[in-house]
Amino acid sequence: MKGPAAWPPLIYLVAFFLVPTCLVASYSLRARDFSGHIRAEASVEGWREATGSYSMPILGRSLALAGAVTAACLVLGYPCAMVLARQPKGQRRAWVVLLSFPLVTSQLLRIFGWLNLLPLSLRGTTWGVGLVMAAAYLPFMLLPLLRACERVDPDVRLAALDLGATPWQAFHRVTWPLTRPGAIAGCSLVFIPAAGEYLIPHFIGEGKVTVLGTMIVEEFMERRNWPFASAAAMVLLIVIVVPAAVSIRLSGKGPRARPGGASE
Amino acid sequence: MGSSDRADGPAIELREVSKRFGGRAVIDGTSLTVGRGEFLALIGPSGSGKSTLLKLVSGIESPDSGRVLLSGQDVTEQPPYRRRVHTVFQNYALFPHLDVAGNVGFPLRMAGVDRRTRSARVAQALDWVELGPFASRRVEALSGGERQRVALARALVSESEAVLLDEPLSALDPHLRTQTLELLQDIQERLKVAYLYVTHDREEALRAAHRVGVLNQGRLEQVGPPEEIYRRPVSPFVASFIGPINWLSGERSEQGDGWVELSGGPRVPTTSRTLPAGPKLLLGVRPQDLWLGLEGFLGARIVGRQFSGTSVSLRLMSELGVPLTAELRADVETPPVGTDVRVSWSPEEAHIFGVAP
Amino acid sequence: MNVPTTIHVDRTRIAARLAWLAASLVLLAAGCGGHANDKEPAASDPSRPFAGQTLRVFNWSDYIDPDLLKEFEAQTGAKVQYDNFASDAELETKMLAGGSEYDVIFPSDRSMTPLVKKGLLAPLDKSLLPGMKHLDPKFLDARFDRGNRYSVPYFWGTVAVGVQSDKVDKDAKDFKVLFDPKYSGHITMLDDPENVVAIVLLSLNLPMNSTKDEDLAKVKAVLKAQRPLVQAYTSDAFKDKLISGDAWVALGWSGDILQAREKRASVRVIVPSSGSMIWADSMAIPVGAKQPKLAHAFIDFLLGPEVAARNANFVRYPTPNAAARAKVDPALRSDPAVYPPADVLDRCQWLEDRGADISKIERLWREIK
Repeated sequence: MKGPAAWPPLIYLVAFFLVPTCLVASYSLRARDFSGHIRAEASVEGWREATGSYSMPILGRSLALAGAVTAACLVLGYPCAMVLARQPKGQRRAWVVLLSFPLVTSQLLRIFGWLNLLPLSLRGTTWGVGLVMAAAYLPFMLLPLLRACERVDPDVRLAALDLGATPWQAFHRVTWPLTRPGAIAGCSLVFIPAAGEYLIPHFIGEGKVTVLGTMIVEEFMERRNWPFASAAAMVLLIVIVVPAAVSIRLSGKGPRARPGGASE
Repeated sequence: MGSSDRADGPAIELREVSKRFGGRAVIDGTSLTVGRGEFLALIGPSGSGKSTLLKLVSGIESPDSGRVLLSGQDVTEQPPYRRRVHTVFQNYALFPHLDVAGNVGFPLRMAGVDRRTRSARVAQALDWVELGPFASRRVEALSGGERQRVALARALVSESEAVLLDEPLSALDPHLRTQTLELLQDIQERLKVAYLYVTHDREEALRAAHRVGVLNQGRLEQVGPPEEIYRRPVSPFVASFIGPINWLSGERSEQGDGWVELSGGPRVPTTSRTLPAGPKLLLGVRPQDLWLGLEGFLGARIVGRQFSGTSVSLRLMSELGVPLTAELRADVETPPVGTDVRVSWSPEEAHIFGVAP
Repeated sequence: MNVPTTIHVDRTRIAARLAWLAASLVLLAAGCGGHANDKEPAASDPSRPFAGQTLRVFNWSDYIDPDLLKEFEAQTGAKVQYDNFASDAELETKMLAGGSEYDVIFPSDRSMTPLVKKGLLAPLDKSLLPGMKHLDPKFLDARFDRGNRYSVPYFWGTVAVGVQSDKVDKDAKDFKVLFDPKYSGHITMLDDPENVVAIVLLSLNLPMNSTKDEDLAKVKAVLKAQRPLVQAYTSDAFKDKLISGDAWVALGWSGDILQAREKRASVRVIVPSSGSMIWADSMAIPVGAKQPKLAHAFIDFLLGPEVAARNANFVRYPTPNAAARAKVDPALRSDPAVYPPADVLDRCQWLEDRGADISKIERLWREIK
């Protein structure tokens, strides 16, 4: 079936994604100019650095941190969403507004708040960075989870208990499969930006927690190493496009009826 | 779980069970027994505590006091998943992510039944509810009636001694209700499973159940076979909840036993040897028990008429100023609206209750 | 980040900076699209030769006395449009994308090298800059712009150590205090390999601009040993940390540490008498500036001793303008933390452009962090 040409999204896609991405990709394949920018000749030095022994541990650390933050948000967000989903509608709406409040306040403002709250011993540590990131990203997990939990008929859980499921089995076999699309959406909303996070590691990490985001900004802005910074940005993009594509596929499927016998 | 490991005792027994929500007694010292293989229907207006009573049996709620026994075993302290009783929910509460077989097999899976046994028993349960070919359907693709039967099969599949049904027909189209009720009845008789069936529809209860319990504000007012409940209600509440009735008020006649002096009107005979303590009395007669003729206890004028196929319902204004309804067989010729008639009834059909002043 | 950069980095600008970064990539993509050449309106009033013209200035924030801008407008009849940048990279990228948007820019010494190398600056017409005679020759003929063909110095400063006098030994007077385990957990370092390596070389009495492998190996050993003592590597937060008391020993730009001292009296500024690193910001005109004459007039205006002194009183950095120095607020002028004594200043050095050798320093930095 052919619809009308989708011009506006196409233009956005080209102007705000394809063109910058192609530019970054082309910078990544040029030689470094030590006084900034790039030189005309081609070079794979940027990619060599971006996949080398300096960058790879940082990439690993960034992904591990993003994964831990995502897991923390899921563990914190799930019970919260389940409890909220059972509140009366008016109260729930008030809660949603309150929980979304961090999203409408400046992230920098919140980071400076954390700088004052965090004890010195947590600042400049990966734990501190992870803690602040989890707090910052929690709403992104909570809102899709809450939407998913709201749509689950509360009687369905009771039915599972009534039919012999322990509370854990009721969660594992019923509540979780029914809310999984929301959880996947929440996880990708947290993981994807967390993997490239710059502000929180920059400020909370106090220069002692180097992740991909801070590394790219540092290489681009401070070292003027454009090919390396661009190649690292491409690596991040590739590393993020993969989970994004997977999560879109997973959540696109939605909760499907599964054969009773084969679902073990 | 075969029948060999079943303990003795009634399928369900509640002893002096109470449950309060926020200071209000929803169930108030109620005792109830559902025998093995018995179909017991609980009726009552909304808010009378019917659903809570079911939840106390299934374990979703626990009582503040009293005991709950299943097959003679005290399960008051047991969580729902340890109780061998399953519920058919009002909105069915099917698992939307599982297909029909997955739904029906769920309790077996939770009980750790192996896959082969499971699929055989699922197929059997689907046969009971006449859904054999539906095993791999998605539940979202089913009609309301089909979902209802899946929910029933799911509650039946583990062949526990009792099934709880929470208004199972209320979400169905009216034309499906009779048919489904018959199916429920057939299965109950075939499997000899006990039903605790909650409904607000007295007709369902009277037609299908072995015994009927009437719940009013958390208290069980009367339990008994449908005929007994219908013919010998123990309270004005039961009498009017179980079917339409004309109420007349009066007093015990001073001239002797067995007569009631209607307020502002004639004396009427009754069969009661000992009338209830008064001083006020309430006398109820069902519409189909009223006779119209040239002779009778009361004068009345016909003010309205409704035809319903099998019967004709006449609205009357009695000389006492109390409106009455009479229901007559449709094949009997009825006088036209505006006619003055005399109203009488057989004394055996009059239900008389004492009213505290 | 180069020296002056961080002096002005306002944390709240970081986000804007990132947004700008994205936008500038798109700008670069579009290439240096032709800018419409707006015709200069003919000067009709000889006393106000630039009436109707607009001067576009690109400078660090809070780095000029705003009254002076009004005064310049009144004198010339021109309008001044004053935009801010927050980092060297921001200025450099903007220039690469087509700097003719601006008439006067204020690059750091570190930015000067690439800007000159890439031919992004217009040669100055010295005949239009008679005020240059007021400048202290010490700040002229810098290595990044021999003969001052493209630039005129604006302000300068040193790299210094801020210490909490109640926590740190009274006799601490050089960079050694940065490596003292007594202050473990309360030391902050600049997050900048070039500057930090230079400071460590100085503290080891080695040539500050050395890129010799054996010298760098010594630097690495020192920094590696220091790593566990460091509370933060930061080029912008050390000022707040000095003010809050979190940092007892902070390596930073002299101006920031002075500002911290204004907020917290216990802060002491150490400019090692053995010499430190010195930096300067310049004024320059980009190639393709639309109002070069007006730009020269503006630079010359700022070189006037009276104006330069007022400006120095406002921004509180040392001025390279010898004639203006006498007119600077005496309290400021006599503060050795602002204007180090002549012998100390003589021992201060400029950071050289290391070219491709910078890779060695970068590698070292990655290894210690």
